[in-house]
Amino acid sequence: MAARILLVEDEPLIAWNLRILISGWGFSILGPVERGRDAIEAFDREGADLALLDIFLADSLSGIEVARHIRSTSATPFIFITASRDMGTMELAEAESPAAMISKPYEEGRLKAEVFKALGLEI
Amino acid sequence: MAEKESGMSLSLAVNLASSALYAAGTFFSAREAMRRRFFAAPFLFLGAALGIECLVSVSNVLERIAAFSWLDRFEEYAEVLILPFVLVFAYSWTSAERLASNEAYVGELHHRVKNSLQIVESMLFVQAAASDSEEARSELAEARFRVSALGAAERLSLDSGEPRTVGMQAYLSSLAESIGSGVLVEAGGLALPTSQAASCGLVAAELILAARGSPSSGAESGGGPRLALRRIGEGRCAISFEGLSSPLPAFSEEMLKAMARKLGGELRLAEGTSLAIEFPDAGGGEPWRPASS
Repeated sequence: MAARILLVEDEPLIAWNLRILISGWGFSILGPVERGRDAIEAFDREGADLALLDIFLADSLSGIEVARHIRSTSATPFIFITASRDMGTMELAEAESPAAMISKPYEEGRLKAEVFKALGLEI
Repeated sequence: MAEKESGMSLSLAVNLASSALYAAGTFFSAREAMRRRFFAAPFLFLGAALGIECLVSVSNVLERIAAFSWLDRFEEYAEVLILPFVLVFAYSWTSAERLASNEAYVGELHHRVKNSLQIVESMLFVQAAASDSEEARSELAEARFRVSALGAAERLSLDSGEPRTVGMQAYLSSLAESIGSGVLVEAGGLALPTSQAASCGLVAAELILAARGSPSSGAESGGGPRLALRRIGEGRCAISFEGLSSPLPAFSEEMLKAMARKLGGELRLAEGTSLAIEFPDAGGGEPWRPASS
């Protein structure tokens, strides 16, 4: 059974791009969801093998807070994908021990490598 | 006696009113100084001067109410002793505030630039994925690769901690590898200012796209297409390419000429299989070293 990836991204075009990419790699997608609250609900309801999290989302809940929830309730790995370079935000994100931090605009090869690595798979 | 008391009351009222006016003036001047990115100094000085006058007026009020004799000399020394300290403190405070505000603003701009580049790349990707035409998919993929070359320059520059330059070996190699072109890249330790690096990245992207059809076997031993960027003298660099197996498409040649002009150089094509662009280094680069060193 294909691994399921929770996709949390508030920019519809980027989410669409990620959905096509991830499906093309043979994984199933949970989402994409644009709001932190919806992400937590979706994760609690259906679970996932990996979460791809944007940091700044469409509601007041950030990707970091979503990660904190995932971390407190499961051993599911997560990867942050962000355009932010704010030191304070980066430190908060790093403190949640993500499987990887990927900077936008992302390089497709690196994204694929990090997703497979986080899932313990070989490309 | 009554006249004297009346005079004192009037004086007290005048001092109270002037204290309030000076305090308001200080507040509005300080706020204006904080709000402005430029021309803040006059408001800073005005605010400090009004603040001193406010303190003097308050001291007069206190003196009249409580007969604090130690306040007698306050007015005499206030401007001389306190004004410089107030000015230095106010200036440091507003400068630090403005610097922090500017840094946050620049950070937000970088965030938007990177996000926008990602959106453009994503748009081209999803349009290609939705297209039924193989030719359209191929052209959209090429356009996306060019945008990703620009995006990679921004990403490497901003994420490196040295936001003014880009290490060219890592940058150009990642471009060549991202589409599995088999192009061998040599840029040694050369770093270029971000705007020049992005132009070189677009040159490289065009050549890497052109080389996709070239035989890549033997690239490691020198037989395949090769892209080199090096310093060729004081203040000059050259980007060269060898191993074109077919003439460049007209669009690619125009792109290369445009980028050469942007770099302040000129495109030289030799026998249809190699080309070079020499251009002035805009500064900020490191000396070129061979890749093997």
